[in-house]
Amino acid sequence: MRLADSLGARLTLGLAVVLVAFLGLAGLALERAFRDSVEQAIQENLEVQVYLLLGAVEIDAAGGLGMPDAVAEPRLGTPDSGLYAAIRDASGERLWQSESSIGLDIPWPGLGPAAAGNRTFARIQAGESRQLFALRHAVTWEIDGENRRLVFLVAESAETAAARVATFRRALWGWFGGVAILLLLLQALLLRWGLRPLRRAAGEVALIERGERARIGDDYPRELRPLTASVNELLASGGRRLERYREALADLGHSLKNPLAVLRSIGGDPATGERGKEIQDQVERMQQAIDWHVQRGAAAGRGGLGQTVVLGEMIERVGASLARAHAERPIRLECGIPPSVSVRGDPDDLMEIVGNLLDNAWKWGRTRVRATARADREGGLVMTIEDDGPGIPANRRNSVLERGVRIDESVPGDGIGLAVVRRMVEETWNGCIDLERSDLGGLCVRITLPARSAPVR
Amino acid sequence: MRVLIAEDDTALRAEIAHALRAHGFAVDASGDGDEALYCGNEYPIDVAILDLGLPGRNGLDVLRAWREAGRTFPVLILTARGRWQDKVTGLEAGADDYLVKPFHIEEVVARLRALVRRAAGWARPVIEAGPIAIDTTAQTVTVDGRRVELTAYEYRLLEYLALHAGEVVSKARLGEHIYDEEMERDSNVLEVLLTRLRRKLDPERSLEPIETLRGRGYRLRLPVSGE
Repeated sequence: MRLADSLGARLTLGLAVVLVAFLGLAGLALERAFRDSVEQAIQENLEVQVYLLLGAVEIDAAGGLGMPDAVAEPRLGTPDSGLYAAIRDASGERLWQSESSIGLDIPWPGLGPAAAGNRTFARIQAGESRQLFALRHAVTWEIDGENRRLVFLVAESAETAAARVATFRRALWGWFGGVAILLLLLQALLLRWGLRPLRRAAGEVALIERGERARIGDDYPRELRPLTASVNELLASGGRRLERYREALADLGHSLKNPLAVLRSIGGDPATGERGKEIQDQVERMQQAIDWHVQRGAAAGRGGLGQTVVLGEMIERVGASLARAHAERPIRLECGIPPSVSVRGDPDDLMEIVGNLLDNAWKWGRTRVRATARADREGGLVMTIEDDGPGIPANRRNSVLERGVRIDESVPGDGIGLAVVRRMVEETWNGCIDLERSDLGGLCVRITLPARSAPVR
Repeated sequence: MRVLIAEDDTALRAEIAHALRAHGFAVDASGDGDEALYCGNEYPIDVAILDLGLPGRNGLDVLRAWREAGRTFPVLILTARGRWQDKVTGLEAGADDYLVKPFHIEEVVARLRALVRRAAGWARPVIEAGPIAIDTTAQTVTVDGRRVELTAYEYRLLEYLALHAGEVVSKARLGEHIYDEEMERDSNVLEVLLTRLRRKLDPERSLEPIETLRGRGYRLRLPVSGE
């Protein structure tokens, strides 16, 4: 599915990018805020430790610094506990350090004479792998009327903080991932729902193309209505125009028929003389041309919107009519087509096919005409009309499907019957026509209509 | 044989009427649906040619009205469009045959003859009454194989009696069927016609094919075959 090909793909991709970007940025911001708050908490905790040390420190009479053995915070007394403290003087000389920090070389921040200010909080690297948050707090202590500057240094391992942040991050991204999947699913559902009218419109247009619907429905969302209304209007105006052409053609054909009939009978009148035959031949040619084009115009592109014809019933009807018109012929129609077989299409067009085929069968058959229909493997329809007449030699079968070719000039006919049938089967139904030898002895005409035009239930 | 032509195209109607008269039919013609309906209901016609596209009342309605009124004469419908829907609808409405325009006039004549014969119960075109053979296609009559020359009216008279062999046909009915509406009818003319016909068919008066039933009419007496 290329991006430009599908509205669904465009929207899915676009919305997914927006969603992922939003969730990603929000996650980063949250993570950062959490980290800041964790560091803030550590800083506050270190300040508490400084105040505890301030409260515990003792200055002896000699001005020396003393610290009770049991410092209030037990972690300071445990080696390598992760909490460390030290006190130095202004020159950086160590006055005291907690037992926990013995043996550790902690690169305390803000030492040295240049370091001014009272408080510094920093993240420092101690040794290869140890990261610490360190707080330096300088105080001025009045001892015996002399102001002494003391620097309190407290540090806590960054591992706990890192672990807390990592836990938070895992939880955060876990939730965000879940939410993202849920939102993407929801988005897909929404897209399906939102684009459903478009899919429906496409489906209806396809049905119209196949001749199973006349127009698109009216119950579309407001945004689509201009489109569907235009399509309907286009269909209607196309239909009207086609109808006008068809009528014009039929009128033309009709208006030429009577003059031609008169001309033909003048040609046949002995008083006309020897050129009468010529007149009749020319009239015949004009007639054939008119019949061909009028029938072509009448049938071309008629979908027979949504109509179905019960095939057996139609064949029986036409057969009964032919039996009436040819009452002197002892022909019996055997129609073994169950009533469940129907054909989709315009009844007039189908009757044109059935009429021409049965008329031929009646013309050539001696006593029997047989009609059958069955479903083929692909779900289409195969209809056969057979007779027990003389049949058509194999080498002439193709030529009788051409217009104007008559197999026997002595039998009345216009020579366009089979050609008309062939054209309608091919153009209107997209099917095919084959001529074969029937086991009744005569001709077997087999019409195959593809599945979508011939529903067999 | 009396035929009604219901066709709205004047030129074509005149052409058909002309040809049919030349072929020995008595012709009534109409170019309008209502008039055609009236003619079919009121005149004793033997066969009708009916154009489906008539003004006033279309051919199908005329046909249905005739059939509903119990008129059983055979009807040949003319269709211009040649659509099977029209043909089938016409035949289902009670027509007996159809013809698509334009047509050879000989085709019309042949179809009409076949329809009339069929309606009278004759399957073959030749009616044989004893030694008399009437070829309804060629409109020739032979007695014992010997050709007898008849005028158009004499032929019509014989054909009508032969088609209704065994029935007593009144003089009035005979007149109605061999003459059209425009003809002035005189029963004496009919008697003269009959006398001439008898003389031509049976110069030796050994056959006496047509008997006269006083006050009732005439009857073709000979046993007929050709069914």
